[in-house]
Amino acid sequence: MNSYANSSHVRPQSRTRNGMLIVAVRVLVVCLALLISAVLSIELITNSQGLAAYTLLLLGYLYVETRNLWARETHLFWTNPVVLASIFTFVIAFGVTNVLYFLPEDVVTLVGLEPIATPWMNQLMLLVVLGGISMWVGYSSGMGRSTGRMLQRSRVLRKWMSPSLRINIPALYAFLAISLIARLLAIKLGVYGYSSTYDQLIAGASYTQYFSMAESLGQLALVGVALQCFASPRSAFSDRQLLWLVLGYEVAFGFLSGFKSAVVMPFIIVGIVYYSQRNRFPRWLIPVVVVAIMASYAVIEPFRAARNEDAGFVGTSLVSILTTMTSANSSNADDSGERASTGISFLARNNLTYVASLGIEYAANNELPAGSPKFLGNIILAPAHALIPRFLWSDKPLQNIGLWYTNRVMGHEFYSSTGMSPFTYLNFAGGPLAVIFGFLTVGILQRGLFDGLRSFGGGGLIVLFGLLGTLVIIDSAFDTFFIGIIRFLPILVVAQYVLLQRPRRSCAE
Amino acid sequence: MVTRMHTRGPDAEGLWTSAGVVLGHRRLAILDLDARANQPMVSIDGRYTIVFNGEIYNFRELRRELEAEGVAFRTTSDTEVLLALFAREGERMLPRLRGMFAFAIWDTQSRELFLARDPCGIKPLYYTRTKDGLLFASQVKALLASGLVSAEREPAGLAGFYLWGSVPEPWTLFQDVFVLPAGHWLQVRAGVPESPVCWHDIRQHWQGEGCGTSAYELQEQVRQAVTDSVRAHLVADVPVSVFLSGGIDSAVLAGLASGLGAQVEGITIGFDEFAGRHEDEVPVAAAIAAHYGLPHFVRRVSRAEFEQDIPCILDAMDQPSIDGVNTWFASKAAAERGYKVVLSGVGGDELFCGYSSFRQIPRTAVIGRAIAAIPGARALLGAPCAYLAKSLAKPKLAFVPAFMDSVEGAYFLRRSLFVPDELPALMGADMARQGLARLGGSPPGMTQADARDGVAAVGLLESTHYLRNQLLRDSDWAGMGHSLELRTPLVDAALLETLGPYVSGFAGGAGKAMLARSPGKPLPESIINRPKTGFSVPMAKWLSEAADQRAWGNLPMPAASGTPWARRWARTVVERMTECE
Repeated sequence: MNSYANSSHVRPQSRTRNGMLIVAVRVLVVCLALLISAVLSIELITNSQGLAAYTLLLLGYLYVETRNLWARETHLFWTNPVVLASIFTFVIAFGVTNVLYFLPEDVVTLVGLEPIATPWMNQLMLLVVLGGISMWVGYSSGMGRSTGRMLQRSRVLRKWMSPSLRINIPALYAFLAISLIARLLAIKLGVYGYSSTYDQLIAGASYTQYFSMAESLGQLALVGVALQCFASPRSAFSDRQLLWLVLGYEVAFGFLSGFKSAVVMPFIIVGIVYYSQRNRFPRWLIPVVVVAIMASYAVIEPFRAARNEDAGFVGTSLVSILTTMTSANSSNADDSGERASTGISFLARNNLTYVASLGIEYAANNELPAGSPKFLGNIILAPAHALIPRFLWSDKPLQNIGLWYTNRVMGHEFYSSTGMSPFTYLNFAGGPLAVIFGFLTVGILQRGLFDGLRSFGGGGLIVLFGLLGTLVIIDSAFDTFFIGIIRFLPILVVAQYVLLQRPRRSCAE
Repeated sequence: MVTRMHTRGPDAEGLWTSAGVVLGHRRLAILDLDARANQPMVSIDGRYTIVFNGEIYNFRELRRELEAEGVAFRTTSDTEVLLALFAREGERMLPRLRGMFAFAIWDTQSRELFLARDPCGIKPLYYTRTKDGLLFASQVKALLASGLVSAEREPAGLAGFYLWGSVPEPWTLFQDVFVLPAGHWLQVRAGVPESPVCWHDIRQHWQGEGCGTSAYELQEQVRQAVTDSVRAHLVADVPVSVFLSGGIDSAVLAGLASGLGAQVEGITIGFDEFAGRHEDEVPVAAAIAAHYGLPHFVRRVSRAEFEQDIPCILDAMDQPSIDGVNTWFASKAAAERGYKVVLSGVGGDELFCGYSSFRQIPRTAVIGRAIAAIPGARALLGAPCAYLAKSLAKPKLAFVPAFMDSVEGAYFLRRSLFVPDELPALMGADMARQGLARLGGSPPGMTQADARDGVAAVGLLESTHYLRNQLLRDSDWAGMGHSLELRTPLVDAALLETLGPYVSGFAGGAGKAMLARSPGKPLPESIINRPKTGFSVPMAKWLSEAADQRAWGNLPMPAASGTPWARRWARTVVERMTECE
């Protein structure tokens, strides 16, 4: 069995020294973060200097943590949730993209952001830094390691997890068929991607989650196919053909969804699987992802604009979606209005600092009005939300905090969901302490699931990669982090059991 | 000496002499304009002679009380009431006085001089010992004009000025000249002053247990107390005006005065540099005046006028200050309109927690304590802070680890102009060392903010440091430089006594909101919610464009990169005042 021993890729002789060093770094970063907050409070530095200081502190800290982890443990490093979360939840959303606020005023205004750093952005950044430290502390903690060991020893997992890297072809087609039917049905019912409407989503609240589960079987199939393709040093032609087929299918529906991440994600999945099997970074992934991003921008942005502006748009017809998408792209060529460059737009899309800070300001100056989400309650009740179906729980809360944020916090009256970031969510739930404990828990679960699942071979990797999105891009609705894990873990275990071939028992066994 | 104070009292001049005693006075006639009320004033029995600077707002009540006891009066002035009250009660009468005052009473019988000053420190009183006895005056420059006082610099005064932007009590810029501290009296026997005695320490109002009450009751308390104070401050036999900025404090004064039937005219200064910008207070002030149906006068001030007035400003500025230019021009405008009295909203931010410091400083202190609680953290931060202080040319950053964990330290970091390390470059190493040693305390020149909580501690510090040493002193020289009496209804011991127990509840904008709702016709929401601008002047722009770069660009400065204008102005003031002496 392709088992994973916790110590096999760790250099224990450096652990103690590194441990002391990293604790000192964390203490220093906490002190520096608080110090920046203190000097900002008494106006010794400007808000722009504060934002720059927090950003550099965050980037520097995450670099030190990841370097330290790299020095100790290289196996599946680039699939490690804590590393990827550092990149996607922290570095991209609150780190490198903060360069926006130091660009010329007109450029920043063009993409709808505040051209100056505000005190609230700095308060948010303090929470982000504390969240980052908490996540890494949780990941390094004994609780994280214990959770991992507990999963490794789990009899249920041992029984159900398949170490094989060969897929069960009939199961693969079944997965693809289910996801295709689910996607077409979702389009028909008007609950698919960006073509959906708020009213239709509300009306379909009791079944949309099942649609999204069924749709995600396509991604799972992609993981399985990629595993099989890259398992051997030279992949078979048929495996490569199959991979292109499933990849093309996922990318096509990514475009149809109107979400750029859905276009890019299939390539990242393939890249991650490649890395997990060949243990080297797929260099081709970077240009491929860049092209995918550019293509998604070129197609999806005009589509979104047309979808919002065209009163006659019909989101319940595949033909209508395709027609709008193609016509929007041809008419886009004539658009000579002032627009930000794709690079700036990309930065703005991925940066959450300003938008998230609005919630920090709102929480500081307002009592939450009646009808607001129960932020803390939703986290506590996440297991119930995950497991109890809506038809059994008629009052089950809707996941509409993004709309609440748009309407209440940002003061816009239109139906649009805005991501507030997990830090803002947790700040609503209980202030800085909630951020610290929330991300501590994230780190513990990341470690537990990473250590626990990767020891089970192919099946473990399918489950791990299936959960990776949840573990890496911490959702603005923080409770969905727990809901996602609780809901998808058993499903993924079953799915891998079905998707992968069972190994033949040897005579010795 | 009296001539030096001409602008403080252009209406009359008086001298009273007796064996070994000379009392001089210049009068700005506001109550009882008749010459009978001129000073020095001698009591009916001839025993006491008074020179008095200021106003006793409750003098009519006190007079009625005294009359009921058979005391006869020759005038309708407050000075005579003060004199009669002292004759009956001695220093015990001080707590009964409501007003701003600094006075001296000579007792011919005991041959003792009694000096006293109001609790908030609105009116100044300086004294010095010479080989022949004691000199006192409302201005340091008047004492210097006597020719009997050494002009030798006081290191503590100079160091204090550079650290804080104003000379902290009890120091002055001169070694032999002292301030009688606010709320103190002083007995002088045979020309020898005894130690000043505190009769009212306003710090008590931020100490001890606070009071909780409902928001409605507190609103009513605020309304009554502020209305009562404004009513008291309107007592005058001459027309009264009001400095009207775009802020809540002055608007409330205008609204309350209007509600009390006083036809006060709003005086606003405007600057072309601010036109159309958020800092421009003229449109807001005009809207407030219209809201209360008050006459409104706008006076435009230009850079050329500022440059022209710099010598007059520095001449009127009794002790160096980095502020007061705004009040100088506002006072000039009021004086040009013929006013002798104006209401000023100064002190509202200190009492009603209007500054951002009320939020920032307690927060900083909490964060600082959290950092300091981490073993070794303070030492760990020393090096990066020192590096940043140097590389960002922000010397205060180097002191953050040392001072961040107390309200006093955070207050110093927030309010100070220069830091102790910069003093040697500014005033010489020896002077700096001596100055810091005499100032004492850590941070230097700070009193302990022993208060009931963080907000109250900031209120205590703002009122006993910034308000007292900077704002009130600036109000005095800038107003008196134009023969204008600035009255401060929001700096009033009676008001403070009433609202002191509740000040912690004024944080976070609550106090200002209550103040804004105090007039019978509350302020419009647009004024209440307008972001705070302060009563500012485009000094940075003026000085950077000044034709005479001695005043600005050519001064050698420590940590020069991006030096705030106030630091350059501070050096300018000291250098120019030295030239004038």
